Amino acid sequence: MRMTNNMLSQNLLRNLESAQGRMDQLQNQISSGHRINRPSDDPVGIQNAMRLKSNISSVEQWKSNADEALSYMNTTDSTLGEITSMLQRVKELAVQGANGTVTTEDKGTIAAEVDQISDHLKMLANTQIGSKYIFSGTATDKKLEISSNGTVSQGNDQYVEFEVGNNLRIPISVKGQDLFGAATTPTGGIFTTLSELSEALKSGDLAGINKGLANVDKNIDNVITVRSGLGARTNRMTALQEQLDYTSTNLQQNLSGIQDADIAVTITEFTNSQNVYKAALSVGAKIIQPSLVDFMR
Amino acid sequence: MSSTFSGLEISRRALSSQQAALNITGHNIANSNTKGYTRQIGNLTSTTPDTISNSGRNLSLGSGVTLDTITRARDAFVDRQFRGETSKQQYWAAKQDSLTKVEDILNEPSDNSLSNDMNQFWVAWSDLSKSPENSGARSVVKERALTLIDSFHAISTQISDRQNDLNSQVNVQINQINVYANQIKDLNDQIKRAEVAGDNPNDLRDSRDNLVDGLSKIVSVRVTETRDPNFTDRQVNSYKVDIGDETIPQTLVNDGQVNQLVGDKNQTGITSVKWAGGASFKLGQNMGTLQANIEIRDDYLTGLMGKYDKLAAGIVTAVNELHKKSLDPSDPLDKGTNFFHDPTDGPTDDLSDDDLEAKVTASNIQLSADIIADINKIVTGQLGEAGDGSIATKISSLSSGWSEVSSIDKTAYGTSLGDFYGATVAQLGVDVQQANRMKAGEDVLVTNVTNQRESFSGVSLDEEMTNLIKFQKSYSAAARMVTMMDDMLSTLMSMGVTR
Repeated sequence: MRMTNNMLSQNLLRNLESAQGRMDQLQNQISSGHRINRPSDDPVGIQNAMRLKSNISSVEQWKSNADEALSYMNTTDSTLGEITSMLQRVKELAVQGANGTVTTEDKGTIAAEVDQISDHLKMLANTQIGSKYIFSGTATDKKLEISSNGTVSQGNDQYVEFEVGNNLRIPISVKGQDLFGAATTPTGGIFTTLSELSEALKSGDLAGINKGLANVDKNIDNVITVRSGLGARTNRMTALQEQLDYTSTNLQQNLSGIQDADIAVTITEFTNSQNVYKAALSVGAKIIQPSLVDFMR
Repeated sequence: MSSTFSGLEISRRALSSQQAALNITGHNIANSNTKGYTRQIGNLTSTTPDTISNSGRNLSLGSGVTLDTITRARDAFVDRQFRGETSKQQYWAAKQDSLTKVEDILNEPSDNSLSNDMNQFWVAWSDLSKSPENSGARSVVKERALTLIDSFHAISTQISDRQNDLNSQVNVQINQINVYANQIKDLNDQIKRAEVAGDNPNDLRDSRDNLVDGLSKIVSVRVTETRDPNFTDRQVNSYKVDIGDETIPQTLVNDGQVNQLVGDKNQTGITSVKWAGGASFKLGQNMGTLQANIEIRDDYLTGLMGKYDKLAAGIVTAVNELHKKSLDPSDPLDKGTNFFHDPTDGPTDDLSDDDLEAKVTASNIQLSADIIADINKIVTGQLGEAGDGSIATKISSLSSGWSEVSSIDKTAYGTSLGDFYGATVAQLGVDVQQANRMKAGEDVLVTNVTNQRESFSGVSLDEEMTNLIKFQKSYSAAARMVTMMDDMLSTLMSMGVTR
C-alpha cells in the first residue's frame, strides 16, 4: 500500500484519541467508584440498579418505622406494667380491707388510696408518646375519656398500625377499651371495679369488698392478657426488624455488585491504557518527524 | 535527412517539459496538507517522431518529449464508498450525539434523578403513615411531591427544548444542502467551460469533490458523471448529483440545473423537508445527519415524552384513586380530595376520572389546589381518625406494585411505576449503546476508506522529493545537451575558416 505523510499523522491522531477515550472512561469509573455512570454503560444493569435502589429506600424506611414501632411498643409495655402493679396494690389493699379487724377509719384510708390509684390509672390511660395518646386507638389526638361506669366517650377501638413491609401494617398499640372499657370482664371495667371497691370499703360492706377483690383479680388477668398479646407482637416486630436489616444488607450488596466498579481491575486497565497511550505518543513523535527532505542537501 | 538544429529542438522540449514536471511536483508539495487535494501527475509523452530516409529505408527518429496531460490520481469507486460510509457514519454520529444529550437530561443513575425523586416521594408517604398527626411529615410529603413535579416539568421542558434545537438544525441543514447545490452547479459550469476549451481543470474538480463529500455528511448522495454527447472530439462530462432515497430518482444538481429543498413548517413550527416543486423528499435508510435529526425529533423524543406523560398520568391516577378513598360515608356529596390536580375536573364536574390518563402530562402535572392551600387536606386514613395511616401506607406501596389500585391499566405499566420508568431508562440505554456501536463500526469503515483514498490520492513527500531529483537531473542533462550541441555547431561553423 502506498503510504503518505498525512496517513501517518491522521492514523496517529486517531489512535491517540481512542487511547485517551479509554483512559477517560476508566478514570470516570475510578473516580466515581461506579461501573455504571449512564444508562448506556449497561442498560440491563441500570434497570436492576434502579429497582434495587427503590427497594432499598423502601426497606430503609420500613426499618426506621420498625425502630419507632418498637420504642412505641416498649413504652406501652412499661405503662401496662405500671397498671398491673397499681392493680396489685389495689388487691393488697382489698385483702387488707377484707380483714375483719380493720377499723372503719382505716377502711376509709384504704378507700382513699384506692381512689387515688383510680385517678392515677386514669392518668395512665392518657399516656402520650410525643403527641399521641397511646390508648385512644387511631384517634391519637384525643384523650381517652372514660366515665366511672366504664363507658368510653372519646377515642376509638382501632389499632394504630405501622408499615413495616410492602403493604404490611402491624398493629403496635393496645386498645384502650380492651384495658379500661366497659366490655371487659368483669362487666364495667377497671374503674367500675375500683369505684365499687371504694364504696364497699367506705361502707364497710365485707361482701362488697370480697366481690371487689375477685374483680380486681379478673382485671389483673385482663391486663396481663393484653400485655402478653402486645409482647407477642413486639417479638414479631423485633423479628421483622432483624429481617429488614438482613434484607437491606443483601440489597446493598446486590446493588454494589451491579453498579460498583471493581477498583483493582479498573486501575489495572487504566495503567494498561496509560502505557498504550505513552507508547503511541513516543512512537508518534518518531514517525511523523523524518521524511526524505531531512536527508537532502 | 533531419535538420542540423533538431538536437537543439529536442533539448528545448526536454527543458520545458521537465520544468513543467518540476512545477507540478512543486504544486503537489505546496498542497500536501490541503483538504481534498488530489495529487497531480504530469504525463510526459514522446512527441511524434520525424521520418528520415536513410539508404533507401525510412527510419523514425525520436523528436523529444512533451507534457501531454496533467491528471488527478483519483478513484471514483473509492469516492463512492467514502461518501456512502460517511453518510452512515454521520447518521449514527448525530444519533449518538442527540441520545447522549437525552441521557444527560435524564441524569440516571444519580441522586438528582426522577427515579430518586419518585422513591423519596413514596418513602415520604410511608413516613407519614406512621405519624399522620405530625404536620412535619405532611409538609415533607408535599415538598417531595413538589420536587417530583419539578423534575417532571424540567425533563419535559428539556425534551421539548431538544426538539426545538433539532428543528432549527434541520432548517440550517436544508439551507446547507441548497448552498452546496448552488456551489456544485457553479463549479459544474466552470469545469464544463474549461473542458470545452480542451482543459482538464483538476483543482476545480477537487473543489467539487470536496463539496460532494461535505454534502454526504448531511444526506445520502450519489454522483453520476457521463460523457456529454454534444462533444465528440473532446472529453466533456455532465455531472449529476442525486440525494436521499436511492430507489427513486431525486436529482439535486444536474449540470447547470439546481433543484432546491424547502422547509415546510406546520402549525407547531416543526419543519418537514420538501422539494421546491412540492414533491416530498424521501431520505432513505439510515443515511446522513439530516435523517438522524428528523428521526430523533419526530419519533424518538416524541416517544420518550409520551413515556414521561404516561408515567406522570399513572402516578396521578393511582395516587388520586387512593387519596380519594377517605370520604365521609354519610355525605353523598363528598367525592374525596384529589392529591394531584385532576385536569378533567371542571367546576361542575362530578370528579370522576374520565380520561384522566390522557389528560395528565409530564408538563402539566401539579398538586391539587386543596393540597397547596392546606397540608392538612392530605389524607392519611379514614376521616376523623388522626392516627390512621392506612391510606398513606397504600400510597407508599405504589412504589412496588398495584395491589391497591384498580383505575389504572396495569398491563401497560408493568409491575410498578418504578419498573415502568426503569424500562424506559433501560430502553434509552440500549438505544445509546446501539448508536455507540454503529458509530464505532462506521468509524472503522470510514477510516479504512479514507486511508484507501489517501493512499491513492494523497501527496507523499518522499515521492515528491524523489520526483524533484528525477526531473532536476533530467533538466540538467537536457541543458548539458544544449551545451554539447553548441560545441558541435561551433565545430561545424569553424570548418574552412583559415586562421
